[in-house]
Amino acid sequence: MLVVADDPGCFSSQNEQDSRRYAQFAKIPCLDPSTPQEAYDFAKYAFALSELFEIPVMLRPTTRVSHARASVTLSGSYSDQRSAHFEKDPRRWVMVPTHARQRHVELNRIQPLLRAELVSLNSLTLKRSHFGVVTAGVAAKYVEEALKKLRLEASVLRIAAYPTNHDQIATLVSNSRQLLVVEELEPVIEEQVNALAGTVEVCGKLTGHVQREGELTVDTVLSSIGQTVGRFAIADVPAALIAAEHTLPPRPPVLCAGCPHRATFYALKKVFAKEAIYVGDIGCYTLGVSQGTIDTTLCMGASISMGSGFSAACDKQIVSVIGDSTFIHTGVPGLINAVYNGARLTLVIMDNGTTAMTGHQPHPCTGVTATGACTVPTPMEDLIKAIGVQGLYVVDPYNLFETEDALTKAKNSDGVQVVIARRPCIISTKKAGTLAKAKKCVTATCQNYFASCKLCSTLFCPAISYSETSALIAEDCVGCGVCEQICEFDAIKTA
Amino acid sequence: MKTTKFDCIIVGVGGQGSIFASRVLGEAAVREGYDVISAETHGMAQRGGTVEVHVRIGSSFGPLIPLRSADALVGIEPAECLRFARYLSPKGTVIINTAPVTAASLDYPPVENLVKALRDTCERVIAYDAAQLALDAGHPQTLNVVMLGTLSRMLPLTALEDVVAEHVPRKALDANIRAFKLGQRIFDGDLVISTRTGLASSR
Repeated sequence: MLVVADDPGCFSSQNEQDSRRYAQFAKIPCLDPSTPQEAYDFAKYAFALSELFEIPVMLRPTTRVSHARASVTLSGSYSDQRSAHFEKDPRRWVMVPTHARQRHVELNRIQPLLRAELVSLNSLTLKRSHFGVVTAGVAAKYVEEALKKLRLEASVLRIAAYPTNHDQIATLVSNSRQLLVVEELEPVIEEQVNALAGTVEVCGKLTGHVQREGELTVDTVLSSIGQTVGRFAIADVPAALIAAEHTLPPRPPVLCAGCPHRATFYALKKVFAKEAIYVGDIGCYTLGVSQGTIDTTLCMGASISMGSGFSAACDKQIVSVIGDSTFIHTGVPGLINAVYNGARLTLVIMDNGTTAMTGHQPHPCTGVTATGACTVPTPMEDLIKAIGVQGLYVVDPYNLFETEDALTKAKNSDGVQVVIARRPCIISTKKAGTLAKAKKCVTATCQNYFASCKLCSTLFCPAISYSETSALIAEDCVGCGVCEQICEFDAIKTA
Repeated sequence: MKTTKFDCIIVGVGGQGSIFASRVLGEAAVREGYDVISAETHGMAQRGGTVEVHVRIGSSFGPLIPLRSADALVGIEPAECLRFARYLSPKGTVIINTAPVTAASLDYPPVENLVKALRDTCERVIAYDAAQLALDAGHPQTLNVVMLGTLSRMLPLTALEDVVAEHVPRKALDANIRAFKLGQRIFDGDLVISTRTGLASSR
């Protein structure tokens, strides 16, 4: 079973991909749960389905199924005590052309069988109504609630698995004059309904009745149904409330007070200045964009591979920024390529000893497995040296002098230079109870220079704020001392 | 028309315990035999960003509460509270902490303006300095539990206090129970907070 969570609305993703397209492309079955209960039920079923058809099965929840909690009725535990057994069969497992041609026939042969098998997961409710809805995933729940709110009779086909069953769509088509297809992300179902609809009107994303991008809600579904059948129940938000909302400051995500990345970014900006191209990666350090030290973010490992590309194509200074976890996940092949093909770049590995952004999971350099067991840690420095980089420095980002010194050396050297800025994530430090709290405070002298200074604002530290006349340091200061080091007037002291 | 028993939105800033509060609320409701579904939205930052949680009790639908439908809105941070007030039903109740989380980069409006905007547009607003009550209870991090205490008076969930007790760290148990009870007294109206000192006293 392959679990892929899609993110309509991009709450924490770089794109709004629809993995149902990949399932279609690979011709594997895809299960589309609408609630945590179904995610549980479908996961169990996916293993059985996989055994039955000898094929991988995709379970595809979306944000509102994955980032949700609900009461779930359990149906006994599932445990398989068989030990894995591999039967040698080159025609099945060795994909040279002669064998692959036969496997392609087999893959196509099971498609109608899969459609027939999966039909029971879908539900078709026919009503004496000219209006029908085809829906899937969490949107099916929004449709249910919207129809109830509108007290509207409609036939509903809820698709829960792909490849879809054409007979059910055909039955709904023959019962309806007008269909609305409500699904998040790509119009996967809508395209199939269109192919079978004949003269029946099909409304959906392709006709503008359902929004093309972003996540759906009960309110957007109410509006889609309204546009289709002319019956509306639009929530009336008072104008005074909307006006008041406009006075609110946005609250963009920030690095924590005491985050070691902030110090590294400050040093980077100072040494490499605006002109360098900062090629970013996936992790908390994407937030370095506010400090002007992240120019691109695309996918895991791209900091190094895109950095190599920049290096080959232009003569700017290139700084690749990646975290320890992402480096070990997908950065290593890019680094081999960069060194081997003679790139000129500085790679900064922001090593906070964890996978912070997703909730502090361990990674191979930590020496702890995903289950919490101890194992052999991957030696980061040895690995980097073995790749053959031209320079390697390890610094503590809280020590700005040391960090700037290493970055300057890297900047003035040829080839691929690696600077590891190592300091545990501040959240890990707090959790481990090893935080030495040396609170900072602002002295009265700050007032004398305040109007022309505010240098500490370039740190974007949430613990620093300003009165009319002076900087202020809040309770959540952890005493990292970075602002104290950069203050040119010695106005920040340890309390 | 109403489609669930009780819809509640809990909002705050990362690190304030909005998600913890929603989990406790959900679990207490499950123990009373209700179907519960909730969804959380918290963006990319580990700390300091907007956190929005929808909790639906007695619901067979999706986790997102429609606009103008929530029975209660719990704002652990005042600006975030106003940001999500559009979800509150015209008959709903706002429970708002008046102590803001500000930062240098935020052009933060006066909290009085935020509370006034809510009073002008919502039927019932319970506004108080819950951060001060959390300090009175013995720990600033009990802020979310103070507000859960206030909310508990609107719900027939007798297990709520027990669930809080089971989920907080042992050494913080007493402070959390005190916090919960202080929050309840705010709802009952037998606790007034002096605007001059910010300290709570019994009436």
